[in-house]
Amino acid sequence: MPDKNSTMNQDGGLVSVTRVLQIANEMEAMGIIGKYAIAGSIAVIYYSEPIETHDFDIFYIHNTPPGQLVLLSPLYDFFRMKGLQASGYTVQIGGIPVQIVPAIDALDTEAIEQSIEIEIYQVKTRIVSLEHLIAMKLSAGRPKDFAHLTLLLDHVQPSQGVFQSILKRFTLTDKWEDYRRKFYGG
Amino acid sequence: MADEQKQQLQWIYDSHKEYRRTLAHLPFEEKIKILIQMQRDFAAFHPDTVCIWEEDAVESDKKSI
Repeated sequence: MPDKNSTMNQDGGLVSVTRVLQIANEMEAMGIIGKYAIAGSIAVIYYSEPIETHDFDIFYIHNTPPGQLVLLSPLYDFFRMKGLQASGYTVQIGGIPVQIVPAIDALDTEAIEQSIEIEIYQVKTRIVSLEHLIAMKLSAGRPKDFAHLTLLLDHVQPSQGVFQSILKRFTLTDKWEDYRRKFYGG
Repeated sequence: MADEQKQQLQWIYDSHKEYRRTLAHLPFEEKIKILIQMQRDFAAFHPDTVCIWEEDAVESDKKSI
């Protein structure tokens, strides 16, 4: 069997996560994407424990008016220039399928706007806050999102004032109460 | 279930919880290393898996690149 590590990561990068962050920073600096933040499973890992995943999710702000399609051609042009392979919202960077996804609603947008600056592998980046991450998982509502929620809440608790305000503003209070009832009995 | 069995299960549960708590407190970069190991373990049982992340080089490696 061929060594997958040696055959898959041939885009010139020896460092994977670092390269993902550098590419995202470059895209933001060039105005190809708006402000971005790490979200999804990687954010879950950041706040809790390692879980099996393959995707690296990056959400970004765009200025496309509501109801219109977000144009991906500037992203594709950039990927081509960098010699990166892309399909849909996913681009392969250093062997990592990176999903670079435009914010689809007000919650995503606020999560990115209020994201936290962090440093990973000495690269500056941003990650959505714990409170926004929980709200995003609640809003998405797939089985894996509830699994992630439970995992997160095993380790960390959101700041109640901030969290309750997010729930109220994005009409997620009922969903939160349903989740609490189902998984914690009250 | 016998009391002894219950105690054993409780011990396993507590140990696992403690282990998970330890993992959660690791630096993010260490968690990524564990994630990559998970991907490799997964690929060992699923040979058609085509996605294993590459480990980030440590600072000393970067300088030698």
